[in-house]
Amino acid sequence: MGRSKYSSYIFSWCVLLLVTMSFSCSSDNGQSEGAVTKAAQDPLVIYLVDEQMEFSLSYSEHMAKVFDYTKIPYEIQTVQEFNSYPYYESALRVIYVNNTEPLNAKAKDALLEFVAEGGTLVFPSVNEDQEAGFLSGIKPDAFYIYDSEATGITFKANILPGVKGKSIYPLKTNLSFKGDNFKEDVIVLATSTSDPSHPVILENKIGNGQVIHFNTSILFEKPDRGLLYAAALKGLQGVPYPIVNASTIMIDDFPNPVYDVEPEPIKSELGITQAQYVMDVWWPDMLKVAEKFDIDYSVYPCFNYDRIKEPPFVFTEWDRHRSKRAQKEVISSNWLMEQVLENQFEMAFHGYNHESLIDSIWGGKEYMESALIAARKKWKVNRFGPFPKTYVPPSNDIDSIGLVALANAMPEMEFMCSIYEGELAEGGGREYDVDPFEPRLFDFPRVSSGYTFNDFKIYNQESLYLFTGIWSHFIHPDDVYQLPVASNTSAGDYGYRNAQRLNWYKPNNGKKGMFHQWNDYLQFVVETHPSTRFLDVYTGATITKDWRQSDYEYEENGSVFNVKKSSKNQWRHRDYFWNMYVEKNNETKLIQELEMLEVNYSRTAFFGGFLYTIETPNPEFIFSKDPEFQGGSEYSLDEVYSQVKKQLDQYAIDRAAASSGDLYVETYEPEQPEVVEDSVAWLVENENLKGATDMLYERLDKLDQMDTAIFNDYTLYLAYQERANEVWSFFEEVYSEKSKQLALDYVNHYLIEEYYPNEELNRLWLGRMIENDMANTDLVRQYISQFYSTEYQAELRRVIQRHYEATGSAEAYAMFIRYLLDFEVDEVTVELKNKAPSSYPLLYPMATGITYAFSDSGMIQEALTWADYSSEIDMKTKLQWWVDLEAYNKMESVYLEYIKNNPLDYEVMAFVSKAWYDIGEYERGSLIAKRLPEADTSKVNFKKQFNTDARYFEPDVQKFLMVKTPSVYYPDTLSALQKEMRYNENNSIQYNTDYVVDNFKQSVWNNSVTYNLKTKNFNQHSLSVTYSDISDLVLNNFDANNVSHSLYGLRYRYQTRGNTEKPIFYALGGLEQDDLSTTFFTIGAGISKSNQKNFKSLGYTFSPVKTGPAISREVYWGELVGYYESGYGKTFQTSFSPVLTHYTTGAVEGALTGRFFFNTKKGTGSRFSPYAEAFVSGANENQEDGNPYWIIDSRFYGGGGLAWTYGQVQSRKLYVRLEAGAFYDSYTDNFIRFTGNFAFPIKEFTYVTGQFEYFNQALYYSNGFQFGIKHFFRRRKEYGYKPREYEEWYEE
Amino acid sequence: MNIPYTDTIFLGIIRMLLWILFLYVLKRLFFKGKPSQNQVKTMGNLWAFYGSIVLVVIYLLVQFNSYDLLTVMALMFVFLVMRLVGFENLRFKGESWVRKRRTILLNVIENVEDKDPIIDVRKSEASKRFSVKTGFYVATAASIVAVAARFYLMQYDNYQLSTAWFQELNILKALEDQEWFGSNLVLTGQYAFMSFYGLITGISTEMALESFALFQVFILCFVIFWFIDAMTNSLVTIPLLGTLAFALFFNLAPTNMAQITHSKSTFMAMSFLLPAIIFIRKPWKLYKERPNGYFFGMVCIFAAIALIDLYTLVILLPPFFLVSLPFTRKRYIKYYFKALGAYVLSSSLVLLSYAYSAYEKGIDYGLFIRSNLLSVSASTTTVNMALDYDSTVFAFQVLSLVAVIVMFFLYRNNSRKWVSPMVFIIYVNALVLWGKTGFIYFDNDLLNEISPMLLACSLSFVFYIAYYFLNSKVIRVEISDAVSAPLIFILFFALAYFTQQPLLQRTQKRGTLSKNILEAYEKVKDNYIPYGYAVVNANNLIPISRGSHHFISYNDFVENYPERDSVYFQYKDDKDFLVRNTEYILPNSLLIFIYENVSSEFAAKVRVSKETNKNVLIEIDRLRKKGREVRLFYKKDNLRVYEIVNNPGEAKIDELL
Repeated sequence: MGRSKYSSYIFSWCVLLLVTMSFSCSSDNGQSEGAVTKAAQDPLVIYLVDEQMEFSLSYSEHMAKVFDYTKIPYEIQTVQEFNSYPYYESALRVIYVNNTEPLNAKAKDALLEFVAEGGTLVFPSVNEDQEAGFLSGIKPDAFYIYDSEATGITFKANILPGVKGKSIYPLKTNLSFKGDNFKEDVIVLATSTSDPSHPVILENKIGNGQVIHFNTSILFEKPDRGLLYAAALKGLQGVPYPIVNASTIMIDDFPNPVYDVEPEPIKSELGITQAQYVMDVWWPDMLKVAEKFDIDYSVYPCFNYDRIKEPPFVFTEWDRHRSKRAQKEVISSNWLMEQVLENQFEMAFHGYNHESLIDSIWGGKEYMESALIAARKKWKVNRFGPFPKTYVPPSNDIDSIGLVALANAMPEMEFMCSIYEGELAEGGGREYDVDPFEPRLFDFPRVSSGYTFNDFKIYNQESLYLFTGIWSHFIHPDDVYQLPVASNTSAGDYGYRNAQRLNWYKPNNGKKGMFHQWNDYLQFVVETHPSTRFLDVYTGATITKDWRQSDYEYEENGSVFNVKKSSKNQWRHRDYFWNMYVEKNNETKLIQELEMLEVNYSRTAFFGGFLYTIETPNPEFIFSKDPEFQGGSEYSLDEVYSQVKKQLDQYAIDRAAASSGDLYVETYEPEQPEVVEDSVAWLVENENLKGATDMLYERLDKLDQMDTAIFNDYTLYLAYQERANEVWSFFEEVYSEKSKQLALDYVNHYLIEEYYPNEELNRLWLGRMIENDMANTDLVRQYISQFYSTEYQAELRRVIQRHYEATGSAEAYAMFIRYLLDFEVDEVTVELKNKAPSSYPLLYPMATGITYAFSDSGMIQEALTWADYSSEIDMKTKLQWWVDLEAYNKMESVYLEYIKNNPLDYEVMAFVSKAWYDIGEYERGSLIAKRLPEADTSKVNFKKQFNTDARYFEPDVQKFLMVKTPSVYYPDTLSALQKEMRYNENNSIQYNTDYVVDNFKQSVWNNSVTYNLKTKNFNQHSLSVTYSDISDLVLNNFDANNVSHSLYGLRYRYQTRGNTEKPIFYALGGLEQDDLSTTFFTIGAGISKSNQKNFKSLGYTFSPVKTGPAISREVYWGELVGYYESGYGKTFQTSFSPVLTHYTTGAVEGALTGRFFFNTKKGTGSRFSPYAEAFVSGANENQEDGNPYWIIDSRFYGGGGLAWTYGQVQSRKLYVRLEAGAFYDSYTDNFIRFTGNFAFPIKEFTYVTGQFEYFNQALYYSNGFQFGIKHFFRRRKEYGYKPREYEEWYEE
Repeated sequence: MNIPYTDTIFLGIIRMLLWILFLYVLKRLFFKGKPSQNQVKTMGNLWAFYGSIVLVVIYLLVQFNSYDLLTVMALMFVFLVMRLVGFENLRFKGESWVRKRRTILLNVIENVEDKDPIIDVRKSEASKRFSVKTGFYVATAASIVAVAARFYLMQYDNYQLSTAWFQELNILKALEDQEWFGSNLVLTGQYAFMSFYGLITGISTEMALESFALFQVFILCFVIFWFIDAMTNSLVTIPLLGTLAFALFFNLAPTNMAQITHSKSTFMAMSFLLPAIIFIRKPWKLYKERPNGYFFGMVCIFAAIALIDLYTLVILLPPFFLVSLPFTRKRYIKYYFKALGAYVLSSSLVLLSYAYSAYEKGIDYGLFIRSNLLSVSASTTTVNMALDYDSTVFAFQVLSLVAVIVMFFLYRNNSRKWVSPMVFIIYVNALVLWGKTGFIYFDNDLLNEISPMLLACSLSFVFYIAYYFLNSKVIRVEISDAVSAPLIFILFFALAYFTQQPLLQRTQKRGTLSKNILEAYEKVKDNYIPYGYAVVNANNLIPISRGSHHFISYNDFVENYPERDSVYFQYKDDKDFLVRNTEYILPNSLLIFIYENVSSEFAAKVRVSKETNKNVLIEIDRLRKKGREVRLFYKKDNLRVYEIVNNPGEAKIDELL
């Protein structure tokens, strides 16, 4: 991949990532935004919760859910909160409170004002507070008598659409106030069923508003949410709220297996089998109904009723029943499925069988999933259409395990439709929300079932419909068969579905047949709600899900509210429905408004007015400006309120009269103050000054507070008597016996005119004053100015420190630090440690002192911090401190900043240069040193050291310095380095040739020309052109393969950089072709590592065996060579080399060579080394004739000799090594061997190498030599180096 | 151990083996050739070739409404004779026929005269009198181990009398009524074998259904052994490893643990698929000397697969052809295309014949194909697995990759040795990958069903590489089979026992009632003349009665039988009346099944309400009081079978005799 292609690839990935992220973010916003906006909006409805009251807690939660559905801003407040802050925003329309007893008077007043000004107050259960009788509409003279007999609720008005005249809870007792407690003018909306004179729901108009009182103790639960909500709607006139408007009819257990049985009541009525009934009667009837009411059914097939819970999951029951349709025999259940598909109803899913997906039934989810997967296969096999998306659990029961199994096995499933009521753990109790146990599913619970309706069913259904617009209803094809007889166990935990023993068509016991009742039921629904849409469940549930995931904004617009969707989620079905309540008298205005908006609408009678259902094209309902919706009042709200207040007062009077109570009044009398007299003048008059002062003293002594008049006289007369200093004894007396404060007051007063008579008293009283008023800075200053010496050190410290503690002021702190610097310098660092100078500007004048205090105690960091605030500390010192801290970066930045302004401060430059150099940052050091004048001693010293070290630097550093700071090199250093680099880094070319001949007259001549290319990182690519000439063998027997060959080839070798700590790795591969066009390959790889102590290497090469017959037969061999050597250049030198060889013919050979040298001399000069050597090998083959190669099964030889060496390997200078040895050999008895190698430069960059081996040996030998020449190319390019980020910083 | 009727359940298998022995003797008698060097291979070949031919013959016979034991046997005999003569000599040439006949006679006489053993096992030197090769013993032992393990697990199995059991019993009965696929659209190949197995061994249909899975496993193990042998050229060690892995380990792949002893079409098809793979890879294993015989043999094998299992035919086979093609050597490409041709030919023939039948019966052919590609009743769970499913698949894929790479390098030097195992491993991985694509007609449960075999074979190939490497490159270890085979057995027993404790020691055993019912039926059928008696039992047991005796439901017995009884006994001697009113004639004996305190598990299988039970007992008592002879015919645990004797001495076989 080219660079540009690569980057465009990355770019597109980034774009994708961003898009994905933004999508995921936006959908998150859609979810979470709402909660925030909702909270931000002022509530329209508040529930005042009494946390002690069960009703209150439960109702407020139910209402919270209702308003969560309707999106109308709602808030729960505790009674305590309202008591302490009984105010509300103007937007507030409705307040719910169960019991007003815990409310305080102010709160109650607020409620009254709220109602009077048009608000709606709802008591959702009987309010027993007798003080709230006025609100509840109870007569002033009522006795609050309870009725414990009246049961049930019968609606006198359409509190919910269509419920007028219907009754609920006939067995539940209301236990509430009797009817005669209430005033005649309250509107009764519902009465007790058993006692029509007992009002249960009342409306009491007060001022512009009303109170709706549920005079009942029946505990309302989930099905009653709508009833409680209806009361609020009364106050929410003109507030539209979004609804789903979806009615769904689900047919559970259809299609399913049908049977040729004839159960009642169809047997008697129609005389047909169950199968005939379902296929020929019921289904056509259902189609007729669908046509009439425009219903899209959702059907929930169930394949089996056997209780199979272990595999195999067969479909015997499903496939069993067959019938003739259009002259063809069909599987009846399949035919029913086709009918559903033909009519384009939703094909949903009820289960493989009718066993609820519950852990205890199935014993784990494995088999549940298997059964569902079996059903899926059936779906595919029989082509029942796309996989189902909505699911009804059998018997409406499913637990968390079952839900997981369902979501796992049927990943397309989106909606779970159990029931609205019931137990959560068993699958019921669901809301229209994401399932609480399985987030992959969204719940769309059902609220009603069956073909017939009754009062409670209507109530229950309307209750939910009011705030959601959802009616989810289910029926079964076999409902008619479920008669209440003992043998019928199919009802399970539910009621009998044909408890009234109805027929399908014919009336029975005066009751219409089920089919006709079903028609009536639907007719009722359509008439009550003309806008009703009958959607299939998937559509309905999809809209519901979108609706639930949407947030809305309510904005006040006069007396109505504009509402619009605020969340960004898109609905999959774009028609939006709203409900809105309006009073009769405002209806015309509403209709005008709706006509203007050009929207569809319908209405149903509700709560004395109408509930409008409106359809808009966009998810917003915006009224035109000031639609003047409400009739408004003739009076201003204040007037209304005051009128109501008057009524309340009158009510209170009436009630008081009725109960004749008294008020308790408390009285309060203030105490009388005392008066004092005086008589001194007389004594003064008679010159009895002593007497006067004594009297005055006595008087003063009696007094608890200062009387300056007396005191002034006293001091004056003492002065007259020249006893002025006696006053100090008075002060002392007062101070020690009476009151310190008084004494100090006197002293202060005295000091206005006078002064301390001596230093002793001065210190004493000043100290006392300070003691008394530690925060007084003037006093402390005074003290410091007078007593700042070591003599008073202890006292001084106490005064300053306590003053600082008392005031905490910066000034006081500065004084304290000043003190510490002057007297206790060690404490300074303790005190100022971890304190930022910037917070203590008053300390700046002392910065130098503080800095040194820190540096002296080794706290360099702090010293440096303070040094910034001092101008007296020189740069070198600071830099030295940074170095001490090893904060070189900081040192660098401080230096760079400084040198910019002081470019000629060579001392600092030399310092930093040395500092860098000392820590191995040679480049930085040199960059600075370069700028020093040549004559500067520091530069001379630098160069001296640098040129000694330079050859040991990393090559990259050397090169950097060659380019950047050539002037710091001595010329000879420079040229030595450049030479070294040429060897190590430059490309080279080499030629090698070797020739080997053995006693089979087999000779191999190898030639190669290699070009070595060094990469930037000094790894080496070598490409060679090779040529080999391989002769045939001299054999006793004829072998067709024994011919000579010439091989031409290419070889590539890769080797990692040498001269590092890391091991060197190499890999090679080559291809050769012989004169017969057979291609051979060679591969190999190896690794070596050397350090001061030893050298280790391991390499493997797989290549053709180079003998004539072996080449003909394409024999390869692989050789694994290990080598270990230690003690190079030491006295004792050892090496081991294990070699493992294998041939593709199956031969394997292992060998081990060990050598031991005694080096007589070290160094590079001429030296001798006696040595010992042993070799052992073993192989699984023996081919002494060398055809196709030479191998013997075992061999050992051992012996010794002498080696002579001159020079050093790879020294670029002459190197020679010769070895001669004699050995005992298990194969040839004995032999002598000479080997040698050499290397020497023929020109500066051209080397010659050679090697030879000679054996004198009877049976097998292979003698040969090798010769090579290698030339290193000149460098053409400038030296490259890794860029340093700092290289610019140190330039000008 | 609570396993009933050990005798009857093995009866079929033992008889079957005796048959095979008989056929073998026959073969050796007439085909006096070189004795087989590899008996496992010979037996495998026999199964693949004759097994498939038997199935094709049964299929054809059913189409002509003439399927019964005798016809099959007769046809097989004709076929044997034809083979004897040689297919190429079918054109009748008097001379050659006479010559052939003479040769055969001479051979037989020669053999008898020379006291030459008829079976080759006795032909070798005295020291090796039984020249049956170790491989054969080991393969048989491994197969027996597999059967024994499943037999042990029967006590936990719920197949008996399950809905599936009845469904399959119905298929078997329909087959006996010459109906290949009834309205249920099920491929009947496996059941044809089952039925044939029942007929040839003389056991009842119910028992054949019950024990066929064991027999199936026996065959399959043998085939697996042969398969690995043929693919690796290892005679004992590697095949034994693979076979035992399949025989003893139930925790390698997803299975349906509750129905291990339920016979499976996929297994049956596998017993032909594996030979087919061998023959495609190594055509010389099947009649190397007669290329035409190769084509014919392959046609039969593929036709058998097509008759047994569409999934194997349509889903499993094509990938193998694809994977195999690039690895087929030039020399054998001819055979590859012959195999492919045979595949195309036999599948089209069989599918066309199905299409025709479907058209005849007015069945939706697409539905038929779909319902046989996807098996709604096959389900597998992963609870039994030692590793979870994904890890197993992943581990297998990694192992396969390593193995394929290693094999590839080995393949360079010794292509013949390695290419077949490599192809197989690639093939299995291709199937796994295909399964993951979500192709709607790929039934993963079916792949899971056969995965124990695929895994066992693949793993043994992987092991083979390691073994080969060790033996050829590192150290040559020569262990005689006499030592290694028992060692492997012991090792596998121990491993299987210790890794599958929960499987072996489940506390919840299945009740014995369903086994008792079958035993009672078996006893009834053995003792009574067909249609000479009636059985009173729950409605869903009707299929057992089909084709054997009359059935009366409990309701019928309580509601209508008393009337029949009184009328019959009133006019018992008035033959004219009875001839005119046959509805009143009572069966000679009435066998009434009574269940007491049955477990809920059983109640789901056989639905009898307590009330019915009570009424039936009351009715029996009333009949006894009326003077009918009531005997307790059978009693075991919760089951009692009463006999009401209406005509003494006329229903029971021994009484009649």
